[in-house]
Amino acid sequence: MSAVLPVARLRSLARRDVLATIAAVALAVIVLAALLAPWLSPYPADGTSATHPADSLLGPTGSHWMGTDAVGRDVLTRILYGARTSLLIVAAVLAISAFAGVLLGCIAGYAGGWVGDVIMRVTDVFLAFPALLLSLALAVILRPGVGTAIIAIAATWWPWYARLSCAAAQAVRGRAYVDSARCLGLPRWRIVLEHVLPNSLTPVIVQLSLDAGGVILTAAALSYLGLGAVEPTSEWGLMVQQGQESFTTEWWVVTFPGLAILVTAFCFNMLGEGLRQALDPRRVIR
Amino acid sequence: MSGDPVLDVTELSVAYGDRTVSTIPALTVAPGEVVAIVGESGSGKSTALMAILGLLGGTAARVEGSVRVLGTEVVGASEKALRPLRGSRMALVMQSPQASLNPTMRLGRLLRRALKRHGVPAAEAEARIADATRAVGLDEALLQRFPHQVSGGQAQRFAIALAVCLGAELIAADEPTSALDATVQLDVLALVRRLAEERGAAWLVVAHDLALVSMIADHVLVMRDGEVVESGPARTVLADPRHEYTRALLAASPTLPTGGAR
Repeated sequence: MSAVLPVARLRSLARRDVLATIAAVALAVIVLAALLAPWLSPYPADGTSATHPADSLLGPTGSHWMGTDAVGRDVLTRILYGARTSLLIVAAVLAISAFAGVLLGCIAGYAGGWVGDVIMRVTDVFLAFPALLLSLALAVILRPGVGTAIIAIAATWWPWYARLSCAAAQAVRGRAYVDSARCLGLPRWRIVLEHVLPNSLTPVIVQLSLDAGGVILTAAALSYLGLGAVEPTSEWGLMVQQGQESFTTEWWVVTFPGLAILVTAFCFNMLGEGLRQALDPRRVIR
Repeated sequence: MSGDPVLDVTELSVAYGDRTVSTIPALTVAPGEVVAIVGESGSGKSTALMAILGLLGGTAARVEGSVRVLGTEVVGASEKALRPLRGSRMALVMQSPQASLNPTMRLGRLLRRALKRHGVPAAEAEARIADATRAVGLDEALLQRFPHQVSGGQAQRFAIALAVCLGAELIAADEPTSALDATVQLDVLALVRRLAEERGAAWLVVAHDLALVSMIADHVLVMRDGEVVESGPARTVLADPRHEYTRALLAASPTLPTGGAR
């Protein structure tokens, strides 16, 4: 798919954009750590439901590198398991938002007229609500949990993709190959799916990467407020919330999950920025 | 040339608001015939072609008159009514071959998809593809590539192969050679002539180079400011241009006819 993702361009950019490359490698490590959490964790049982009240709030030592939390669970283990939760939420939210947004946006952009108007006005209604507020309202109505967090965040996220794809599809609509597809006698939905959509994806790919960091932060915020993931699920925002009472004395309970949120969100943003520049046709690469 | 005309245009006019940009009083193209519409930029030749193909529906253009393709009226027909005509009966070869091909789709996939859409069974599709690529002189291995991985001439041959493959009886070409190198231009035009003679499709070619296109056309229409100023057999127009504009066009032509292409 060299037209969507110019591989040679990316490779030559990887050599120049060191920061984005480091971010990409770091993200690969984080994803791998999340996948291998049951094997990498020193105390796999702590990632789910085990508690050890006797080991409550131990500082970082050789046996607990990042200390333990209020119920004696290994913080490192819960961070590794928390990566699974965060990445699951990111993947689900972005998949739902991108699927719905791109499809609706491409239809609106290609069809135009009243069809486009209806789709884009509905999109505007969703955009009119502050995202976190709408997520909070949805999370309050539904039962707190990872699934609720995904639905609540996706509901506020898809309109951006609809906007983006609509603009991209409007630009693609005037291209010769779309007229050419029309001249081949292809039905409209095929033109949208096979000719308009694949050529409207570049800005979406960049946006996905830039948004991943935002989704992590929003998911953490929801569970911090008690509206996202619930005990005994490992989730970084939840860990920060649970550790905040003892922050001044037992700093490790809050600091390490906080760092995990920071580093992951930062890496996604750096990668997104790198991709944005790599895919910008105006940028000259030698 | 004999037989019922594939394309029959009478009193066609295209207007934007109250400004008429293109009129063609009469034009017929028979099977196996190549008809050229020639004029400079803004003469209304491409607009006429778009109207003939029914591509101006949904735009601000007002189309009047009659365009019959294989007996079906195109003027005023809905997009849905035109769909059965498109591809399998009338095809368009565009000016910029690479821009007219979806950059994310391999050439072969585009071809197979189009054939499938027109209800051609897979086995017959492969036979048709082999036949069409041979007819246009295109290496079948190129079908594995994306549009940006082939040359302009190869892409234009592919676009023609696409029309041949679908069995189009009317093939319209909008400046099919102006984006190509001079030597490739002649090859592609010779290909158009040969396909018209061998396969019997009717060709309607829009071009700005009168001398060049006259080498392969049976009949020529010269347009200026939206009107046909001269119309006649290519040989007559070339040898004895009546209108001073035609003479100016011939004088301005960068390519001198050598008579070799026929």
